[in-house]
Amino acid sequence: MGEIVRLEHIKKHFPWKKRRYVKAIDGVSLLINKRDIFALAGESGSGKTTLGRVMLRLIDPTSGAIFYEGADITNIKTEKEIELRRKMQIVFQDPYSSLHPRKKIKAIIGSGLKTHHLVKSEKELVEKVEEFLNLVGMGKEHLYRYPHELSGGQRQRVAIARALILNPGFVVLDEPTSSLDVSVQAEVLNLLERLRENLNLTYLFITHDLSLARLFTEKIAVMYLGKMTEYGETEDIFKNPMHPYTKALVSVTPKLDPKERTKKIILKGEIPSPIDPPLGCGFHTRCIEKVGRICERESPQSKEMEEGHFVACHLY
Amino acid sequence: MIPEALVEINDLVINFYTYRGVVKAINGVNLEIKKGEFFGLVGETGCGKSVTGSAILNLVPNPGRIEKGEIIFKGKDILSMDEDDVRERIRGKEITMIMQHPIAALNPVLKNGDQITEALSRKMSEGAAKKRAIELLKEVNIPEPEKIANQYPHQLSGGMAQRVMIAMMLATEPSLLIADEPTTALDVSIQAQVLSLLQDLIKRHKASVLLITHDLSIVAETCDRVGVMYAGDIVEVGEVDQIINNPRHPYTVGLMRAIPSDSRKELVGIRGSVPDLVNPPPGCRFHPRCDYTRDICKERKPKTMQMESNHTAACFLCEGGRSG
Repeated sequence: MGEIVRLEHIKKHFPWKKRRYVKAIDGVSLLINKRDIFALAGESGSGKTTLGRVMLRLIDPTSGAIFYEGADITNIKTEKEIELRRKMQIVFQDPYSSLHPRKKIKAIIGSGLKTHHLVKSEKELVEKVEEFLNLVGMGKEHLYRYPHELSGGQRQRVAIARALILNPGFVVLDEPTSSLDVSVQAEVLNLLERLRENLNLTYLFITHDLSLARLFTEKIAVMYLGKMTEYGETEDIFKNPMHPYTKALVSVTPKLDPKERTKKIILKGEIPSPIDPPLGCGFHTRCIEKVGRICERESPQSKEMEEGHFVACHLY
Repeated sequence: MIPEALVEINDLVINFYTYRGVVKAINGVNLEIKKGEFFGLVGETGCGKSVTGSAILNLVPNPGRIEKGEIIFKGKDILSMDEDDVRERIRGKEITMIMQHPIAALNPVLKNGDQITEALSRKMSEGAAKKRAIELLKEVNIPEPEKIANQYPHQLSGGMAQRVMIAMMLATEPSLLIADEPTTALDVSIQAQVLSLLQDLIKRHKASVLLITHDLSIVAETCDRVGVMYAGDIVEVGEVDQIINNPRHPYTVGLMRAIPSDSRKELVGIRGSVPDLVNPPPGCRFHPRCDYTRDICKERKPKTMQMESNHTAACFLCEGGRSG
């Protein structure tokens, strides 16, 4: 179905004291097809949020190239960049800090329409905002309210309406439900799924919750310390996780149903600092299936193990 | 043999006096925690699970007030005890608490080792306390305990800080450990470490745990019994298997359908949102969001019914069970 976003060898190194660098992303390539729901999973410090922002060019990469619908957007500027901003939108994690506290809902959702000159009159703007409020399951009574008058779930719906009103092709959802209660989370996810069907959207779903990723997404990339460890169809990866990190992560994700539980692989230690990441494979300090010295010396290349299932590990 | 009760909460009512009005946060809670068990208290934001936890230590934050009820711990009512007595004997001694944000809960200007010895210094000499602190740090699987004891909390990661916190709380050999969302701020791989550590330690020290969390999956994996709270009420209590396999209260059923699982293809949310407890709905507080609401639900608060042994639910649907 054609690609929408492609990354080639993206690196993002943030400068740190005295010519040292935080290697937030260290060589990631991936491809997202149109109408995919693509999950980017990993623990804190794995670089998943940074990668999402690099894709939107909210952060410029240190090296590598970003393509949107086949065109290189790594360095585009001015008018083209503005048009790109319309096509690529983001919903942030925390709806309490991502909505302007002193603006009314109408202004929050409608400001993008003005920026991009998509409406001619105030009347048209109000109509459009109302339409999108309805789309996310809210009514026009919310038009003139402030964010503090809304619940967490309603705020996240406003953030979704704000992203979608510009008719984007690609939306980054950065942990859109992690600050919501489970009963509300389910409704927001169902809404997102329905909107994708109706509006032909492509999502990048950034999450630390593997059970959500399994339920909601079609493809998944698992990240660890700025590198992609495993990538493929979501179902394949959950049925047959191959990278030792993915295996451990899948096994320790809490499960409600005792029948779904497998033996827990409890990893020792913690994710190392990205300032001076370990040489070789970033995971070797915690890996229980270490092959030998090669893990400490050489960074593993991504290999295709089954069709469309890539693993970066010296085991294979 | 039925293990005896360690803590018994009877008809607890707590209100918060705010400028908006009186928030009826806890609406007559009854709960029993048995000796040596891992009890999970589950509920969504604002259901009163944390307030219940702090009430056990008689530490309800301002502007909250305990209006009614008793908390019987080892035969004595904590709420009617002398405040000095609670401080001397109960709080931080017999009953200890670990918090969601360990780095914020530790004293930032005390070294990690000193945080632990502080609780021990009354009982033993300084040297012995120091030795014991290192032992405790070792027990919670901290690598290089001597080095960590000499560092400050800000030098620790979240997982490490939570371990220091656990070591601190075990120092006084408590019989009840209240863990308020102990792993919410941690990554899953670290969460697994901390939970399995907690389970081991509790067995070894023969203590009970009250695990307060919003995540039913965590409870399903670690606890013996569960209580489900909604808007200030305990709606269902039972053994983990009973609740997971045979939930009886519509809220528990709804909560479970909202949690992702491998075998479920679709999530179902619970419509509406948690009520404002300044004006809680009359009758059963869940009725505006419930699919089985009848007239009686809007008028009277349902009694707690015994469903099977050790399994109770407060819902008119469950009538026909014995009143418990």
